[in-house]
Amino acid sequence: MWGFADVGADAFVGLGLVLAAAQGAAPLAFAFAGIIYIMIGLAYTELASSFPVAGGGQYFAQRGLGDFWGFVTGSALVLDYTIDIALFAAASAGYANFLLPYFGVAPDSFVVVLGPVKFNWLWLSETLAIISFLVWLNIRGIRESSRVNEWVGALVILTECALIVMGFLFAWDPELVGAQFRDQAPSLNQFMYGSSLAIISFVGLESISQAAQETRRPATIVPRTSLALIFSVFLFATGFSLLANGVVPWQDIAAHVDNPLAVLARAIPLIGEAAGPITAILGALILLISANSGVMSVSRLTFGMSQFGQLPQWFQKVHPAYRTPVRTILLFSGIAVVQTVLAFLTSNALGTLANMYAFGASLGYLLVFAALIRLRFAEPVVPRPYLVPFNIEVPWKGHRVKFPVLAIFGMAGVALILGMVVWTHEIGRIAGPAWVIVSLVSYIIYRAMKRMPLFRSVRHDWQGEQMRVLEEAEEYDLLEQYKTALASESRWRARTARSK
Amino acid sequence: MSPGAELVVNPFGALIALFFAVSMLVLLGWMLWLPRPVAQPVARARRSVGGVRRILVPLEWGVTSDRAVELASRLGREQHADIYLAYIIEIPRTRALNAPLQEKESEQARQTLRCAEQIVKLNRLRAITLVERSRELSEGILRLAGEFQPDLIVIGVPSLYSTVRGLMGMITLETIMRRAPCEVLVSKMPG
Repeated sequence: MWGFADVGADAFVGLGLVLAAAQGAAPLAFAFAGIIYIMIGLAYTELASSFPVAGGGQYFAQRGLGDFWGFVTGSALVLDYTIDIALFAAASAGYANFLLPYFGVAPDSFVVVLGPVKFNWLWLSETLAIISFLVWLNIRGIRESSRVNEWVGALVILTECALIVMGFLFAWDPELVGAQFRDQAPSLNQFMYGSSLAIISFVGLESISQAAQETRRPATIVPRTSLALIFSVFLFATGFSLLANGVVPWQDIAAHVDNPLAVLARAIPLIGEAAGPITAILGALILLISANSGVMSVSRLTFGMSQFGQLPQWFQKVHPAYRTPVRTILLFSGIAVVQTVLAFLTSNALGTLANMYAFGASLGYLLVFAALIRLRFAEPVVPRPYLVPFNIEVPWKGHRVKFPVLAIFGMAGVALILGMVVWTHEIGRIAGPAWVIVSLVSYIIYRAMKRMPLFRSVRHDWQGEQMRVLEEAEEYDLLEQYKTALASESRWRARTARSK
Repeated sequence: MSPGAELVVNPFGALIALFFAVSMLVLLGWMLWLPRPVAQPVARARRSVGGVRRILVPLEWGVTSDRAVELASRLGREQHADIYLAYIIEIPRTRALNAPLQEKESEQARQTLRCAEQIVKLNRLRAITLVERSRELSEGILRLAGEFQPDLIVIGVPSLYSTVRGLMGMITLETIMRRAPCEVLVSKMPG
């Protein structure tokens, strides 16, 4: 449900940003990014169910491509998680502000101008307060949030379903969609910018991978959850964008990037009066949960990277009383605070954060695809409860390896998105690579100081770890399958050695 | 929407709404319906059979081994096992082991292997055919087992043996059972 809470949240943020960029062609931008996202999702489903270990993309890349690329992926994901905290906290505050007019307060009255900079100080303060609250919550190790997550996640999904069904039934006008598409089509640059931003509407996969280790029977549950997640997110994202363009002019949504879904909900007949504020409340809650998942995930990820010798052991230190990783929580939430403040100094705070997010996500996804292909060859005997479809069997060292053709298309698609990000995102193309380069320099210094290989990997007992993980997860069927396959492989090796 | 305004339902919109609702119901229903967990002993039993990738089937002229070949093929079908079909010729001690085979012996071997190979191919598996000379049947089977390291040996035994033949067969089977480096499955053919 943790990942599913993230799913519900994505549509709340992405809709306004993508509509503002791709305008009348926003549904097309969502569909384009959505198809690539489906391929990414299928890759994550295979990897998370085969290697149910916390760490997500970073772990897959490390296991498949080695320590160096694992670190590159990890640094991209750390960037995304810190932005996740800032972006979703800001969006949560944005939805809360939707309710201000109901109390006779105009949100625009809090806008201040300081020289060339113009920002809403109330919104900024709320965002910083939310991040501080999450830091406190996570340092204290508040545990009862899981059940709340589930309820809010379920409520959000129900609300979103109701909005889409009611909206298409009573408010949607296909002629308006056609007119906006025909008369207000974006330029190619705007469309590319919108499509690359649309990728932020498709997060949640990493959260599922992170949660896989704590899931009992992950090989059974992860593929189902993950596949349901992929297709429901796709339906939500394309559904909302199509609905929005058929209910209101895109400018109405683009003018409210801080709470676009609440604006859309308010425009639906019969339920609009109530749906607007309800959507805003649920949006604020689910986005708060998503921001919290950013705090938790970045702590887990850096803890794992530190255990694998990619980051100093300093990151593993836990609070003596609360037993929580206080250092990582403070450090990365602090970075999120800096990102928030800097983003609010630009003309479009959410757009700036989404800009950077898209860079980290596309870089991480690219390396995850490479890891998927490499792992098929490097560890062919690992049981895979789910396989990315469309494979070609290739003989490889005594095995019949299934080469994932779809991964090649996925890689090309993600590379295209990354290219679009670099081409069209003014901030993302500088800040994103700069983050990765600075992280890499620190990695090289750390490894050199520890006399560890810089570009090669240290030895890892992946087989032992795989067996331990499967046993802990009570995936006995997979465990036995793995043991049998390993025994077969060792017999094959013995035969080959004898014949030589 | 102003009060009193008429609600208009666009048929295309209604269709999309229906498609969305049904898709979400199917997705969530499928996600929440989970298969039952498998206990470790059950998993071990299932997977140990799944690990059988090489099956050796010894064949002999005049002994109905075709059913043993079919049985082996079915056991190996799910995991795409390789089936080693070994025709074993017992050479009496009065003849040299490497003496040329008589035409009749060669023909019998060819016929038996052709028939067995066809059974394997009908099961869409790979058949590897061999002709092995040996002083004793058990010795030949064990030598092949040592050489090809199968995961399973399937031996078909006819139900009606003469007393002498039955006694010999028992000795052969007992030796194989005791000394084979892998699992042995003996199938007594229905009479």
